[in-house]
Amino acid sequence: MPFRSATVERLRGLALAVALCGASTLAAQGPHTASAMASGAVPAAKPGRPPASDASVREAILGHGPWPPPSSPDPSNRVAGSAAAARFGHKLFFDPRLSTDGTVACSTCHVPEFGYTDRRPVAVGLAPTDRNTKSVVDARFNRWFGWSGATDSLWAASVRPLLDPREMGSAERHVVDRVRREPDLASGYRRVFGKPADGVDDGQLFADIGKAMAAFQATLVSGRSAFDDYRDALARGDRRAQARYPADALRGLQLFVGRAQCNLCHFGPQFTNGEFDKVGISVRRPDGRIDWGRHDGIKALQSSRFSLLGRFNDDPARRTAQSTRHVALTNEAYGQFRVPGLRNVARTAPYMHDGSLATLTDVVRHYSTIDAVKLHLAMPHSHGEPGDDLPARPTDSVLRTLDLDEREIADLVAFLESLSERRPRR
Amino acid sequence: MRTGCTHSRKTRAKAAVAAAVTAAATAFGWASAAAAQPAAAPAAKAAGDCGTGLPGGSRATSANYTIAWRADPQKIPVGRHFAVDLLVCPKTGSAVATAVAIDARMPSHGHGMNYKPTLKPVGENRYRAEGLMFHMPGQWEMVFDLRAGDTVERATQVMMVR
Ligand code: HEC
Ligand code: HEC
Repeated sequence: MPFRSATVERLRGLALAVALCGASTLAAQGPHTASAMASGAVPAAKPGRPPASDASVREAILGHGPWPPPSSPDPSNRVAGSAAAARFGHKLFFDPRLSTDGTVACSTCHVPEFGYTDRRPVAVGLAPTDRNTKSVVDARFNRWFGWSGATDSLWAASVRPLLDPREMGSAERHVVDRVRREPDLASGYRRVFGKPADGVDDGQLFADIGKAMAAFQATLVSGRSAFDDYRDALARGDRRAQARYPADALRGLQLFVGRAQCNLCHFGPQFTNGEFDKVGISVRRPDGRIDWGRHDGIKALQSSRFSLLGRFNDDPARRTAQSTRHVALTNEAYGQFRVPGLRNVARTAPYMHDGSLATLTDVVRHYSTIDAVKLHLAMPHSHGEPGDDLPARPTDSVLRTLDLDEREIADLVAFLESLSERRPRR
Repeated sequence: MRTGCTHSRKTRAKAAVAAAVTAAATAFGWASAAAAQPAAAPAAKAAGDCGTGLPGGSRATSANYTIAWRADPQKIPVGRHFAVDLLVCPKTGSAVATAVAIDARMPSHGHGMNYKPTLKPVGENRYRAEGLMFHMPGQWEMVFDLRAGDTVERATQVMMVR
């Protein structure tokens, strides 16, 4: 049981509440105080993380596996797990006919040889977009999709780019007409869904196209990495096998789950808690507009016909809709982006939602030097004008300046590189 | 969360404060549900229920209430939804709680949950909250607000989640 006695807890709760009041009083004095508090602050004194013991380090490392994790076909997609659907979905994924002018396919941006990304800072379809292309490998394990979680299923994430004017620029009408009229697509649809595309309404047919593509993408699971071999050797106490893991990667791993606290957010077998946070990457787009990230994502989700609460969810019990039902549109969501999983991360440069960091070394240096000033500058804040829709104050962050030395930076990078699959499982 | 400073002193609050709690509750995504029973249930019996009601669970107390609660699943997983079963028992002579709210936060990080739990009465003094999620490992504080008439009080409990 993780719980201590109620009395002790009550006292601690009170102490924490007092500490919190103190902190918010300080924060109220403005960003200068906040930066003074964050720079050079050491996590050791934080009540949330007692100093790591060997046992807790081991537990934290084991928590990043096993890989691959158990999973079952998505109940919201009636063709998930169907081999015929995966084949049809594969064909559609590489087919430019679904775009408005027949020039852009999913694979224009999700290039298999580049880990299903495109090596560009931001994606370019019919026109440049504002965001870095996410890999679709391991997407089957996601709770949310895209950098802002604007979609809640793999199939909804798969129809979204069809309609984005800068990606494939199609209209629902165009896509369903293609599938009904092109003989190979019409017969593919009938084979997978057991009825002719002509007999299905537009919305349903459009969602089904997404579901076939989702069935294909669900087969893309990353293979095992050097880290996985180390983690499993640790689990079974096999010292010889553990010794094969490079020393620099091991030191990097210890930093990752230890002093650097990366695993607060990059948690579990996928190295993500599946949620959203801010790590000091600017929300300003090149054109000066602002990408509000998660805040916009929740609004898009809640107005989408393709969310798990809508009629296209194939699961009458809506078992996977819990997050959509309970998600809270809070001020904290402004400027948050999804915590990316880190498997195969060495293959998917450049990094962050806007592709602004070119290499893993740049990413680690960014975390090393992060402070409240950087976090503050990344986010515009309201000065309280009436009707102003901006967040009223910088929200707290768990990030602290790490001041890593050159060797520690190289070690963390070596660790991140050890998360690459040896052989694709595909 | 500034309002928390006032309310975490576990004193009985007046109507004005109750209103403030309700406002905070809305602002921070709290869920509340009216209890389904009349305000005169036998308090002593109810308190007894809290003693034995939820095997394997934990207990939080405030001035006038004992809350037996148990997470489902019992070991709360990081980054996944869980539910909480609650049994809210007035101490002898105290009024039955007519509304209950549940929330959770990470005091040392200054943030709460990304999800708004829903809470529904499921029997005498019993509630089930759904849709909670602890999205980071570390110290979390479960917060229960109990309203009886125009007074509100709060019980909290801190736990480590990993
Ligand atoms: C113009 C480039 C481009 C094209 C074309 C494109 N995508 Fe993407 N894809 C992206 C970008 C950029 C993101 C991140 C989007 C966001 O944050 O909103 C993304 C995200 C995704 C995701 C979410 C992955 C995750 O882990 O969150 C899926 C799934 C996906 N795309 C599937 C597809 C499919 C299927 C197609 C074809 C119908 C497609 N994409 C076409 C650029 C593209
Ligand atoms: C507070 C939560 C949090 C912590 C702690 C954290 N990260 Fe991140 N990480 C994120 C988020 C959120 C992003 C995406 C930010 C964006 O795009 O604006 C990210 C992005 C990344 C990326 C880029 C991945 C990609 O595909 O673009 C890498 C690599 C990374 N983090 C590594 C680390 C390392 C190493 C640490 C520890 C030094 C760390 N993170 C600590 C939340 C966190």
